[in-house]
Amino acid sequence: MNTSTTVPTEAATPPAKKILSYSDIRNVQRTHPLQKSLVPVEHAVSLPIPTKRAGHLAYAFFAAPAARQPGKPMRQGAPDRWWLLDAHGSASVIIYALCAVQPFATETWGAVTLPPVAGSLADLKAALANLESQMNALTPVFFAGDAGDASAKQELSAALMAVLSEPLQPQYRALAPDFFAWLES
Amino acid sequence: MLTDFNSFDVAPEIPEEVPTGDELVNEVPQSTEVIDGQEVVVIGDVDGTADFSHLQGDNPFGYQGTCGLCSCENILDSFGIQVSEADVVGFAIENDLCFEGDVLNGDDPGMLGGTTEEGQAQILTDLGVPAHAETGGTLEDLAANIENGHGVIAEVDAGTIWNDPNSSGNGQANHAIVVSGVARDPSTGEIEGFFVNDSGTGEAGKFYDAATFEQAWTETGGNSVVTDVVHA
Repeated sequence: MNTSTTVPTEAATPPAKKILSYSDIRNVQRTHPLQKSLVPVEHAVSLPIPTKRAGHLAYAFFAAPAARQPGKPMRQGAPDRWWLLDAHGSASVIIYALCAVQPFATETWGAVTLPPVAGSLADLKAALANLESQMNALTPVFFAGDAGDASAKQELSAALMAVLSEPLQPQYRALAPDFFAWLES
Repeated sequence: MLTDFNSFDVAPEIPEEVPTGDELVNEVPQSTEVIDGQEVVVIGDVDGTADFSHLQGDNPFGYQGTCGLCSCENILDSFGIQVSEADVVGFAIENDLCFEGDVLNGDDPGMLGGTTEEGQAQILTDLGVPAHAETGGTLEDLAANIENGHGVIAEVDAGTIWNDPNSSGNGQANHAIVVSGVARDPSTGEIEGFFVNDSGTGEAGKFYDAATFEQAWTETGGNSVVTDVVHA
């Protein structure tokens, strides 16, 4: 058997890695092995937030214990875990940490009763769809390090704040401070 | 009634009467019912499993966020392994298979007792009904599992099945329920909906149409825990 190999003198430039869109990461998140094995179903899991806080293009999440009862506002505890999924390929885990061991922020929070959601379930889903659409458009701009269009960022910021319950907004800001700094610059 | 949790240090033997194949398809109960004025064929032991359903939070540890554990209890009971919610919660605490806290020190009881999908499958397996987690399922996949006699826990968005935006989970599953039956159109075979035991409301055998289930389950990942064995 001839085992000799030819050493290439030139190599093609590798193609640029495909970045998972916001829609992609939301779909992956729903069936990700990390959540199936480590995050209780009953926990409240945050929306993904783009971040470069670990030196990678990634999406950040936190989860918190939550209590739900039909017709009553949800109660949510302080985040007890957080993780980063790679924004490329199969969204591999970059970091998973319990907040008691490796917190994602210096702030501490307590349990909160979330204000009642204004509007119907359909309204909420429409707001999430609007946010997803705008995130799809602007996340690549953030990842690329570009300043982005100011008015588009203002619209995205409004869409995000329309979905994020006010008591949870500090937690989201602490999770991905670089994204919020870019969004509001 | 199980009271000695140490008895689970070794997983109990599966009772001989629990079949381990899919050959008993014809043994799954079927009936004809009228739902919303439409005749449907109902497949699954909806009434039988409803007998084992109740409002969650009935345990001495004060844990009230026990939908996954109550779903395990419902499945175990339906396979002839008689357990209470207290038994299952105690087993989960002892084996580090649920989210824990201390009610007496101020932890919110409603936030305690949560389980992962893998944990639910582990609990069922350890207590005598081998099970596994499935993901990315379709309504037809779900129906097939019911029609073949498997026990099924579905991970759903509580906000969707309760029609309550306050309990919705950002497009993700956040609640565990037992699916006890499927309704099909007798002419076309089309899935009309599913019957559910929901410990979050205490309702048993409640019917949800296929569109609602598509939103609550399929669109949140189609995640479920399915027994490896089938009902006799």
